[in-house]
Amino acid sequence: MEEIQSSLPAPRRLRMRRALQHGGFIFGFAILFVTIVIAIFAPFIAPHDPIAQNLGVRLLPPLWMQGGRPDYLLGTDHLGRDYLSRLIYGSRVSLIVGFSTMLIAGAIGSALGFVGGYYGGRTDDIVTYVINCRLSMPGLLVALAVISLVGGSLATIILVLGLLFWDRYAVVVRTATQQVRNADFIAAARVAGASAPWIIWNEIRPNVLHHILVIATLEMAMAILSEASLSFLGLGIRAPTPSWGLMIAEGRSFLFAKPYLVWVPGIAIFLLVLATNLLGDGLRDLSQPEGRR
Amino acid sequence: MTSLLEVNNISLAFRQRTGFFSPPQLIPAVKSVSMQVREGEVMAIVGESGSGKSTLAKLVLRLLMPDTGSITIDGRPSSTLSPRDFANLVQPVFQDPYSSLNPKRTLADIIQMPLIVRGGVSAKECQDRARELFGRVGLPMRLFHTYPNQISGGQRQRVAIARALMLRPKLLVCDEPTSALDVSVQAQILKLFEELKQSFGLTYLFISHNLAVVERIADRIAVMYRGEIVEQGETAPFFAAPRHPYSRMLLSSVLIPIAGRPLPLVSRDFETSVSCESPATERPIVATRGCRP
Ligand SMILES: Nc1ncnc2c1ncn2[C@@H]1O[C@H](COP(=O)(O)OP(=O)(O)OP(=O)(O)O)[C@@H](O)[C@H]1O
Ligand SMILES: [Mg+2]
Repeated sequence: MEEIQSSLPAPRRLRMRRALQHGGFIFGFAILFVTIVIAIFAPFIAPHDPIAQNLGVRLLPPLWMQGGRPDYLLGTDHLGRDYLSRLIYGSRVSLIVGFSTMLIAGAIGSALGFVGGYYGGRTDDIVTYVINCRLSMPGLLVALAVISLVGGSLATIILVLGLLFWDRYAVVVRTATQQVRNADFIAAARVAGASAPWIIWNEIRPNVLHHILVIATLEMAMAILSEASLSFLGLGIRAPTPSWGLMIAEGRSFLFAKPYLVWVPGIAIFLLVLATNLLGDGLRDLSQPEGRR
Repeated sequence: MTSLLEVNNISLAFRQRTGFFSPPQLIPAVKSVSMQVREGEVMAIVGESGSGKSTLAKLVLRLLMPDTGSITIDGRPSSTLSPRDFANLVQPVFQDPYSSLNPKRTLADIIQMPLIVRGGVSAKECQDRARELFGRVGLPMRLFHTYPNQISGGQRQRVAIARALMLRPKLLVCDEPTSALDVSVQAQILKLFEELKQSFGLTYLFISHNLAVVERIADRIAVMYRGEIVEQGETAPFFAAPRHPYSRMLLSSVLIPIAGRPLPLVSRDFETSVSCESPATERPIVATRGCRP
């Protein structure tokens, strides 16, 4: 304690230094960042229109294989669409689904967790009951059923995933809130006349935020994977919109002749999900007082 | 002199839920306690662990609602005061300087909190007042924008005191404000309490189980035992000749050596009266009546 006091490095800078030493965090952050940049600037980066068909160049292999062409770096699919361009645009779907689901589920779950954890008593009983109801449903199965009923689209996928996968936020935020609720600084705020929402937002939220961030990244990976699975099953994004799951589904029939049609988007999904998970793990390690041992 | 705080016959029993269907168990923590604290005086409450001191403090702070009885502050019923009016009159200083400061907020934010919640002043004015108090409680200005984990326990308690003074209250409710600190730091904080009392015209409800501290700072003293006030009176006569057997036991258990004062008499029969828990046998030896003004 005494040493810290003498030099007084700002905690923010300390945290930065530790983050830069965390391999998984750096890797995850870098990949996610690059993917976001690619998704935003897709029209400038993609060499071709992702949905323009050119039957003259059907099923071209990637550049490094026999018969590959430099203007189609990753080859083309069965309709002659440039695979690299589809991959680039496909990142948009993954990220939009990932982030939007995270926001919706995060808002619902955190709100429930804060309310149950802060008020306790009967209110908490109700919140716990709602969480238990949700936990007793098989999430992805319900998503499948609902989407096959109302029809798949970007909006329905986001809504269904967002309205379903808030349970982890709720459980963790509720527990974390309970741990903070009885602290004396909360009592001080109550004596000062602060309302419950003010206390939750200003005093509790900063103490729970790192938990939410960790879950958000892990759940974002889950949402990206769910969208890919749903699209693969033909229940998600509709053709011709490029989605990585849909690309795998369409390439499936050529799995033995043209395996790159499956493994190229497969690797993209794998990397993005891995990166997001590593980022989440990294955030968790960094948010612990002493970091990872 | 008028009473700033009047506690009339308040009682509180905690309801402990043992199971979902079984009726709650009642734990009486405060049993018909009455007392007056006059403006400008230091009223100490002493008693062993679990005797209900903190519960009484929380009742005065409106953090708990009494089952029966009423509290009057500055001539007005405490329960009818708006949160804002109440905060302007009464502020807390808690025991644990770690739990009483939000680890995620800077000292500047922590001290300003009550005034930010109350509103009515500009951000600049608010910060100016916080800075002034920061210096007033003996903290170096270079710590103003640091976080609680960068300062010592004694400094934390100074921050808590500064926060309590932010609204210029009349009454500070201090629940063992020095018992988590080193003996040398305790003395400094006590001195600070004495100085602040003079310069801000404060009244203290001062809970402690350190009788040396109480003897130094208190004008009057109330002894709590099992949720009841068994004796209250001026400090000097109390230390010279405690009336209630429990007070005598309390005094004899600490033995403050002061020249010219004989050791207090310890009655052996008190321990036997403790063991038979019937209120009917305990009541006759309660000596509060004679000590009240
Ligand atoms: N939230 C609660 N729920 C149930 N019982 C409680 C609760 N808070 C306190 N009690 C009980 O009420 C009694 C009085 O507790 P209180 O904290 O007021 O004692 P205290 O005099 O402050 O003790 P200490 O000196 O250890 O701080 C104890 O028996 C305690 O177990
Ligand atoms: Mg206590």
